[in-house]
Amino acid sequence: MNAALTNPVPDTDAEVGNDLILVEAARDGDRRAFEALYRRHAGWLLPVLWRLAAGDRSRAEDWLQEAFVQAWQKLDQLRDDAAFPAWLKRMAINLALADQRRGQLTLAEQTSERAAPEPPWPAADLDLERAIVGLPERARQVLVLFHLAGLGHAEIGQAMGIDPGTSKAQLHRARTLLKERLA
Amino acid sequence: MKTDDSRLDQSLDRRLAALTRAHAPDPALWHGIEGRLPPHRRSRRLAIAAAVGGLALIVATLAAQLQREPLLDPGRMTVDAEAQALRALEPETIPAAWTEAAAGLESAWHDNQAAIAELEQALERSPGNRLLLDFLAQARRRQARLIGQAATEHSVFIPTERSIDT
Repeated sequence: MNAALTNPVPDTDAEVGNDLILVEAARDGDRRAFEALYRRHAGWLLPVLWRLAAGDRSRAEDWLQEAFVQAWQKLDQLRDDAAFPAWLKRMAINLALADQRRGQLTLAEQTSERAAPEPPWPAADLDLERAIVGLPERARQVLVLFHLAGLGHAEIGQAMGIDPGTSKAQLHRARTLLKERLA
Repeated sequence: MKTDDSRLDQSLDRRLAALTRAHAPDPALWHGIEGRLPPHRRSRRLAIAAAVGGLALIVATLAAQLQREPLLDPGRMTVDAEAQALRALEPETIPAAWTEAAAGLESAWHDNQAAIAELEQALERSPGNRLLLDFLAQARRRQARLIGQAATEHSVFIPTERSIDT
């Protein structure tokens, strides 16, 4: 696990406690509780998905919506309520990667035709944002999952269906490309 | 001394760490999600409660049924039937006619002997059955009493087929 750069997910006892209450209520069919979970967790998930989507905002929002709809439908399968943020993140990432695998060619064409994307938030480092979304797909996915989603190489390998060693190689490639473009 | 590459790496790490990590999505997104949530979700708690309630109902029904009609044990049924048959054979008191007629005594002795044989067979099937043992003892005592009566009243009937064993 990449401990240095983890997600801003709730990690204090009080926040985890709130999650437990909300997850339990949502599991009982309480939509207000599920909306509260959405408001607590959609905010940190969206930037990860936007960067995975190479700056395609509508695609990132589609994945976000789909992830929450699936979370609602599969809440009964969640064994440890305290693990809701990690469970949701894994679900959203798997959705995004699967969708990209299906539409690889289409996405590549769209990306090449698009102008440099603007993130939906006031970017503190627009050059870096653009350099990231401009990376080759696999290198970008590994860099985003490692540095911005807080996954380790074993988890990345599992999510992407690649060897952890390949994940390390792709990360090295991504970082080299970024350093070249930002120099 | 740090190389240029490691300085670039450190710089990249700093910039990556400083990237925006959270941004509230468009409020309209939630409405899109809410509209896609299935309207009826059975809660796990309700499902468990329903299952427990159903189980309790089944147990209560079975308990009531068992109180009305206890389960029948074939072994117990056999012993009860034999005991009932023996009770039917056993007269409350020895009829006065038995002491007056040798034929009556002989008939009673044969009936009693048949009952003893049946009891012994039943005991072979259910060794140690206290009820059968009691009946067998009673039957043998009755047999001895019949022989005693026959001897006292100079009856012609003298049992010879088997010895008396009480």
